[in-house]
Amino acid sequence: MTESRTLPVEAGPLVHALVNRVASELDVRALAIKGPALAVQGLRAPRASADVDVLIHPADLECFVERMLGLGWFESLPSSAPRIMPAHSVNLLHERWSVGIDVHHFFPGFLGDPEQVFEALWERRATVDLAGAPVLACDPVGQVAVVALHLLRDCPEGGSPALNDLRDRARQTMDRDRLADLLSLAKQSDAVGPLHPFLQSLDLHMDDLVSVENAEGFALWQTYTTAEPSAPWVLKLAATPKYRWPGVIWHAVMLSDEEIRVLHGGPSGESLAHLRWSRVRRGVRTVPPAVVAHLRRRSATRSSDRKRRGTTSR
Amino acid sequence: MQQKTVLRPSGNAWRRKAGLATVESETRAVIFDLDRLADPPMILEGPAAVIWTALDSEIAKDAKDLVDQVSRVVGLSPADIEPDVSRFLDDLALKGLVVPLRTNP
Repeated sequence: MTESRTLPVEAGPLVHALVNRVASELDVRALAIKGPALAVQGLRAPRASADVDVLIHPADLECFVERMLGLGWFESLPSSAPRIMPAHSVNLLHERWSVGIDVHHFFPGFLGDPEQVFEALWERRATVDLAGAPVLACDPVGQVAVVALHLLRDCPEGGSPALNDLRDRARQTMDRDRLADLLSLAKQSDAVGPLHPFLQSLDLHMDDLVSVENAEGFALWQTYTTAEPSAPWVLKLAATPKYRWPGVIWHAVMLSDEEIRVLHGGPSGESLAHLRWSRVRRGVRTVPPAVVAHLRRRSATRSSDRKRRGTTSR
Repeated sequence: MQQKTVLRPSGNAWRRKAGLATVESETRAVIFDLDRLADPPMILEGPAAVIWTALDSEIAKDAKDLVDQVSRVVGLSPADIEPDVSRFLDDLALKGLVVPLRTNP
């Protein structure tokens, strides 16, 4: 009998059961998303992950995290680097558990009001068996929407092997009505724009004209998903008075030692000085084109906003 | 001075405690007690995992049947493993992971 650390493939289902119990005891609403629940639902191959993901009602985030801290979990240090997307999750870690927990209070790509989006996903929740315990999770339709949005962040035009695998598994596990439900959920949660390439791959939304309620959120999504790695810094500069630019640029280059290691460190064990110098060279190469692209995009967005309100042509 | 009596949990039949989350393979079982959320999961390997796998969460299994079942898996005679199995079940009971039942007065 030992008390050593679990393997991630073991810890994932157990941590989902833990989260479900905590949520139940607190009488808050939480849904398992992605990860082992998705595998149980036949929408991905079983595999280990470094984190489990849970979507919690936005109003319940604080008390849920507080309870988890009381159980020995702690928040991972947030990066000081700027980001385009607002923070959408809290990452919790525990010394005795081999996986972390990403506690999402909204999920990027659902452009609707986060509470209403949660209600829509909660209304169609399912119970999955994880580690022999019943765990509340998004139903397959909700899961497909969540995972597709997650994958579209890295491949906004669709067609990546992971998206194709999800599409194929969705077709295998869901009948025509359930697939049609995906389009309904996308409309309900204002996610038709971000999901459009995936919906098209399922023959669900062939119209090139995408109706978007939250046009500003959609523009942000497009910026986020098509941005160069340097784009957050470009946006940060754009929002900073010019006299403070030297400080921002200094921070962009230097970051903290830990951030440099996380962002650029590899197994080769290169020195921090070398990693930082590589970052400078990359910045010199990519930032000027990114600034030009940002200015063009901003100009196009403003022009487009003037022409149409609430409808975006892709 | 009053002497403290330690009650041994030995029983004639055993079942797993309700409210456990478990991930099991042939040689390993990871057990997490959902009533003790701050505790780390318990990892059982080898013969310990075999004994755990032989237990059921709903039906209490007779201790002799458990020993027989485990002996078949590990390839040793019931008489050889009975003391170890009993001791291990008592340990699990003390940790609150199995429930002993006394079927005889």
